[in-house]
Amino acid sequence: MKSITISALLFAAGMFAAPAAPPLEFPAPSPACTVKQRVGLTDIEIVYSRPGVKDRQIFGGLVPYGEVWRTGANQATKIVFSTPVKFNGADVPAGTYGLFTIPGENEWTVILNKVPEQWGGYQYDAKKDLVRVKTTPVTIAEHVETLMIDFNDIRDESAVLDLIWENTLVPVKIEVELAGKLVPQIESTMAGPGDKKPYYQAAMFYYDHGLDLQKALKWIDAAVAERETFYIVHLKAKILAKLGEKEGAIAAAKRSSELALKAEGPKSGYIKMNNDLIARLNG
Amino acid sequence: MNPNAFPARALVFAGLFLASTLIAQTPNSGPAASPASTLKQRVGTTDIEISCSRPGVKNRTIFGDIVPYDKVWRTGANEATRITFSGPVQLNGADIPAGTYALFTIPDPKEWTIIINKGAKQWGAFRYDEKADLVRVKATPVKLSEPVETFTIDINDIRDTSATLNLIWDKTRVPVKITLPKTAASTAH
Repeated sequence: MKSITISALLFAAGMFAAPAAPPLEFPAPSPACTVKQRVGLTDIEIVYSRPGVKDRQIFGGLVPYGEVWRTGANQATKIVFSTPVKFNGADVPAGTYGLFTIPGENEWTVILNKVPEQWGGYQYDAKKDLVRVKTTPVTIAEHVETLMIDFNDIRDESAVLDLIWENTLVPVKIEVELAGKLVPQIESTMAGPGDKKPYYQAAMFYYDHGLDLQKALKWIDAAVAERETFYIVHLKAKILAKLGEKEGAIAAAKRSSELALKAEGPKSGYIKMNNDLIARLNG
Repeated sequence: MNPNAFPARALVFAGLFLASTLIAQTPNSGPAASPASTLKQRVGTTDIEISCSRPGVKNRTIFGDIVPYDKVWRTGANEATRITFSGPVQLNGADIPAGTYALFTIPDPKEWTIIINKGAKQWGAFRYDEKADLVRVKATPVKLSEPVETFTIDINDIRDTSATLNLIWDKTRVPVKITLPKTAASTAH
């Protein structure tokens, strides 16, 4: 009895006397990652934890087919859209969502759930799903050790969200609205008063999107008048070529190469692109 | 019309453009933006952040053509690619103190040069200054069987004290080994 009291006292004293151990920061087995990508005028952000294969069989093994998977590790994977998007064709308003999947051998289900902050898939509630879309997994030759969520095939108005792990790539198409919003703004700004307009950018947009090339030409001429630079003159050559004005296009391409040589030296990629354009026009 | 209204709108408009339409820019082009991207990755207890602009292949030949061999490449588009390490690391064996750097490369069919440069806020490679190089390391490119359309920088093979920085575009992947010093992996901070 006495000894118990003493040891209890010693124990209590020890608790007060011993300094707290310094906080240790351990590496997480599945380290956190944030990816931010701009697509068109939309910002997309993904926050997830990245597990490794570590010599295990992943799909159909560690991650079973036919069951909801948090599509990461630890905290559920979160995805934020700054504007409305189409997610494999399904309408999704701007907002923050939990990203879940149901892996399958031949078909995956990709889920956006309205509850973004949750631990793993344990509290996952199908009633809170916003959309479920289907997609076909692709087998890839390269082994990818660490789960990777990436955007690729990024275009003006779309991108592909790729979930990649082990030897599997799961693509989800994301589409954003751009031209419909931008064209009226371009038209009114370019027709408005004032100078220092974004001539080059407007011409580029019209050229890229197959819009009115006469307008694009007018704007690129204004851009060249403001600042005669190799990449601006190169765009002029491409616009003229698309308009069928062969002589003008060749002259502009040659001028662009001269300027590129001065600015970047003989290895400038623009000299090569101008030569290709000239060869195509003469071919 | 309110005379003040136009410049503001033009600015917003220019901003939209910077952010959006110039994806068609080639990797060598001028001050227009390819879509901007940021990746933050923790390796061990070190945070690594990479900001870059991501050009697309767009049916062109990339390495050895649009991006010439033997010439310093900004390794992205527009502004130079930036990389920040919260603690000291080694890149392919070379010591890098904590800090923010510009990442450049010199592509080559057989052996790439990876450059960590101290001038972190540069516009493209036009003002690349070799005197500001911190280290240059060599890396061996790997041929991919499937092409990757959009230039990608990823950190993979993440372990407690190491990872691989991958530069991926078209049919080429260039792996660079990131190693955390033993002290950083085992000491609290």
